[in-house]
Amino acid sequence: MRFPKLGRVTLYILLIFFIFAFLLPLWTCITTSFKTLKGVIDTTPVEPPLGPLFRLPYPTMEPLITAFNIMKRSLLNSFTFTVAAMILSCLLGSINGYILTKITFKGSNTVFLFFTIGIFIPYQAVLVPLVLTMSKLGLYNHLGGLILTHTAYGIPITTLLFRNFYGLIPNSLIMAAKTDGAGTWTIYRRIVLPLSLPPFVVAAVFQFTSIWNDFLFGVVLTRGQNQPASVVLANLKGTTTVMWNLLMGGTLWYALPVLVIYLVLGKYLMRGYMAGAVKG
Amino acid sequence: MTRRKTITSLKNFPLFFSPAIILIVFFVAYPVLQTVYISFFSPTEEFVGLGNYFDVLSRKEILNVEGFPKWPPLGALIHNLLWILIHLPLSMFSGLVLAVILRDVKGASIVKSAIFLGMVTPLIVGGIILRFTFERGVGIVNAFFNVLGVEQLARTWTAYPETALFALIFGSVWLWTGFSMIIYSAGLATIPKEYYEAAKIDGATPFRTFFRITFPLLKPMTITVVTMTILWELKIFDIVFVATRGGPGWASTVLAYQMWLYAFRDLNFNNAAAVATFLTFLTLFVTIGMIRYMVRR
Repeated sequence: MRFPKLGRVTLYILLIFFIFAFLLPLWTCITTSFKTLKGVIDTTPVEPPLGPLFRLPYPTMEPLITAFNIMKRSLLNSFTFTVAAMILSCLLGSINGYILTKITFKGSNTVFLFFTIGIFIPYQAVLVPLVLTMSKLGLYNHLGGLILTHTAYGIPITTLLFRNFYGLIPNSLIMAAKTDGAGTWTIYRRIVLPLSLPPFVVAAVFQFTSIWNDFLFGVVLTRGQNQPASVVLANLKGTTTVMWNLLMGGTLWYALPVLVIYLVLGKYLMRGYMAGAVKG
Repeated sequence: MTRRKTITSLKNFPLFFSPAIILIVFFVAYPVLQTVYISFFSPTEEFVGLGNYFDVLSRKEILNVEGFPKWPPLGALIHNLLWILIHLPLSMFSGLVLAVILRDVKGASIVKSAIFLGMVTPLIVGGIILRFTFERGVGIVNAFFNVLGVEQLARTWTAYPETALFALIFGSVWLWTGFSMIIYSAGLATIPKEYYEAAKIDGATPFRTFFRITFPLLKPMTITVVTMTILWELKIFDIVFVATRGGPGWASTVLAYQMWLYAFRDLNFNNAAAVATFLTFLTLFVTIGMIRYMVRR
């Protein structure tokens, strides 16, 4: 679509406005976490933590430091189970995708449907029995429980992603290897896996963000020391009044890994969303 | 879905599926069936048929339409419905408009990245930021009203029953617009340029071109966006949990949050299971609609 010249100028002003409007929440989050409580009340959230006429009474590192000390254990928990579940769900998704695209067998569509149905199940539908199952397995309030749960709920989307990608690998390649006497596992390890870097990046980025961002499984399956960062953050409020600077400091720490991934690998993340949605 | 692939039958392939199948059976399929099962029983394990469902639907926090129409609290079910009625068109159309505008604009990827940030933001963070945004004295919405000089509008929007739900619904548009934007962007890229050239030669106005060519060709994307957005709105939980805890009173509660309260605060697993099953039924209903459309195509 061609826009007339004046229209183009208006358009760019509009777009810059959009960028500001959508980045504003993140900006207020950053400014607030560097302010003293008095600073939070005296200034608007848009202003940087500089007092009237830059006499600088408001900037402080304290909220960020306090928040980090409260959250460090939970951040480590989140990191542990997120990375573990990310790796496991990607590997299983890759194997599933390989078998589903390269081997013809009866009921393969049924198996695929079975793998992907989890995308549409609301987590609420499993919570109570899941807690009971985990208690029986001794995995309630254990990071292992979160790893298994997140792996299971990651399988649908990773299977979908890898299946779409492996559909593009020529079957003749597999046939040739089979003629040479390679078995199912050897073909996967020697031929399919080395070609899989692109889908692994997309799946890993997608899985990391969604597992890291999860709150519900964390709040239901863990307590105290073993809680993920999302749960600790949700409970990070003052006793009587909300300490907004502390809360925003915690928010920044919690959002940091995801923000970094988004800055570096955002392109792949968007691809994950599109693959999951368009081809579903 | 209809791609036919043929090849090799390799030996012992079911073995490769087994870890995934075991995980899904234990942590997805079995719990879902168990939830459906206990939704038909009383806490003393008597079969009560649809008793829990009637019980739940008669509760004020689920369905409260006495004296309708009126302000919230209207019950979680209606709140979810309001979420769909308001949030779906807003986020869908703003995403569509952005995708169309950004199609051939220089620097579009920067704008897209800024807007898609909402999709990456953890929902817990989204909820905290919404609460902060609407808070009197510290939040940006009220700073804005103060600057405009309408101080009577500067108040904690999430603290009043009339406005709490709507504050969350309108605020959450910011989180989800990126989704419809990138799906429509991907769709627009598949429309051949010749269509537009032909339309131009025929002297079609941009509006006519949009409604006669672009929008109809984007139908598959529209179906996807509508389905995924409704699913998201039905599952809304984190935002409500952290921003208002469903309050004040029941004014901003939703089905997913209510289920959580029944199960983990009241320890009423049967009522919780009824809400959860009902929610699952709603999502399956929406999903099957989409799958049927996809298969028909």
